[in-house]
Amino acid sequence: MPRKSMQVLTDSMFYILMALSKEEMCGQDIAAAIDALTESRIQIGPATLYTILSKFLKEGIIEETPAGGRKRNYKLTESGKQVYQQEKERLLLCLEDAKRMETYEYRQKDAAVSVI
Amino acid sequence: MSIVRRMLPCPSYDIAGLETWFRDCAAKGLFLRENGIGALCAQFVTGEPQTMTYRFEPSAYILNTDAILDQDNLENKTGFLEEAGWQLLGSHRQYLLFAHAGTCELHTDPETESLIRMDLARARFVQLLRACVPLLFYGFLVSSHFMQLMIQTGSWIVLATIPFAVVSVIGSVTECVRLFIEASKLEKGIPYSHEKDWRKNAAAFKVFRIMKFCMYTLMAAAFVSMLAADASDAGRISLKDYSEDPPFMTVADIDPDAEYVMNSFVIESLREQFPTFNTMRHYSDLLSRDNYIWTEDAYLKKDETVYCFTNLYYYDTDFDFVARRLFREYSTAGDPAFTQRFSGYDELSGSEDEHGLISFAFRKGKKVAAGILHADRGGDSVSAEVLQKLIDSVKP
Repeated sequence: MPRKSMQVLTDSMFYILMALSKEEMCGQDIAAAIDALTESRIQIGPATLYTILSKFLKEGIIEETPAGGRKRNYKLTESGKQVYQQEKERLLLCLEDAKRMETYEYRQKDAAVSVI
Repeated sequence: MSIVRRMLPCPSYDIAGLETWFRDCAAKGLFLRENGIGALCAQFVTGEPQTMTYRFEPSAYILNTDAILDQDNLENKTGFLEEAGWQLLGSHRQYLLFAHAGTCELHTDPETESLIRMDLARARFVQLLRACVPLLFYGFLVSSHFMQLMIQTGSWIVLATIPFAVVSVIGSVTECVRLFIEASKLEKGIPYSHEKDWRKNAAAFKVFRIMKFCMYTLMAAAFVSMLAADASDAGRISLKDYSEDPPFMTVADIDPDAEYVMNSFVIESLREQFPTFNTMRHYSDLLSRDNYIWTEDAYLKKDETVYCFTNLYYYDTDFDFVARRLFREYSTAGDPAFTQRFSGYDELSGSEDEHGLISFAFRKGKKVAAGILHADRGGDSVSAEVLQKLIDSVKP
């Protein structure tokens, strides 16, 4: 089944929303914030950043706010906040499942297999 | 700082090859100049060798899609990337070319990049479909009498450009397929490869480009010379003044003892009997049908001489065009002088006898090139003399 647009976010998309969840920022500040937060583990190229911001704008996930001159700031819309929150919860659930997997005991229907 | 020109070592659509080539040139002290990419060559400025990264980014102007990029945001995107330290060097095909000192990337997320690349692939596919329209023109040229005419009048160069056109089409199709494959790979998370060995076919490619450029230049020159010759008044025969249509002539007026042979429906049989006879061509090609012209040829034989007479039908067709076509056909019957004699006319009138043979005259203003009945004797140069005899025999 084809995935709908914005149904599952890529790492880059999620981190951009994460950066904007705190405060509105311009593009360069977003890239710098992500670089600092992840200790350079996640680096977003300018074209990737621009493409994602354009797509988010088109989808109504973020909106522009004038910042003086050619600079533009971006902030999350209510819809964007929901998207970010849903993705965060989804990832947290995944993390909990992974933690639970280490101690979880389950049974199959046809064959009893226990994992301790 | 001097400017150096270098011929592109790979096709202009080979983006990875060009990016690698520019990088290698920078490592040798040649830096691509702003707006320095041409169709054949690139311009460089010299400097200290340096590590540079060059990247082609799909351009909104060409894509013109509403998916990711649109025209209004082109300036924004350019400014955005320039703030990140990328210098815009100009545009090339569907791309903007950016450069950055050192090693870095414009795109770091394959899945996001796939959105742009897939749009690019689709836009390029639409462009390719539109480009097929001129190919129909090429197909027509190959199959039509027009092409045969150009070959016989010396414009063979048009045929010689066809292989280059075919290769160009194959290249465009290859590029389109490659774009889709690359976009699909990006969708699966496989990063786009900007590294390519441009040296592999560089020499052969350069030779091909030079030959192609020369062939198309010659073709353009041939067309221009044809148009110039067509418009020239050189060799026009002296005209006589007529206030009415020229007198009607029949075969008997030319030679009372001539024997009517047959019409063109058995033209193949005639070719067997008279292998040296240069039969008139039928207007069976597409262009003729559109203009409702066709001819039937009849052959009259006296002794060892066979005369060909052309029966001409035309409807709703500009006379100038009809006569021009007719002249070109006749000129290929081995008498190039015929075309020169009757250039510059602007009206055609004719009449028809019981065999469907017509006489026709070419009029310019009040002056008329005397009514003649065309005769072609087997494709040698005598036809010009025959025509002159016919012209002189017409009474005003």
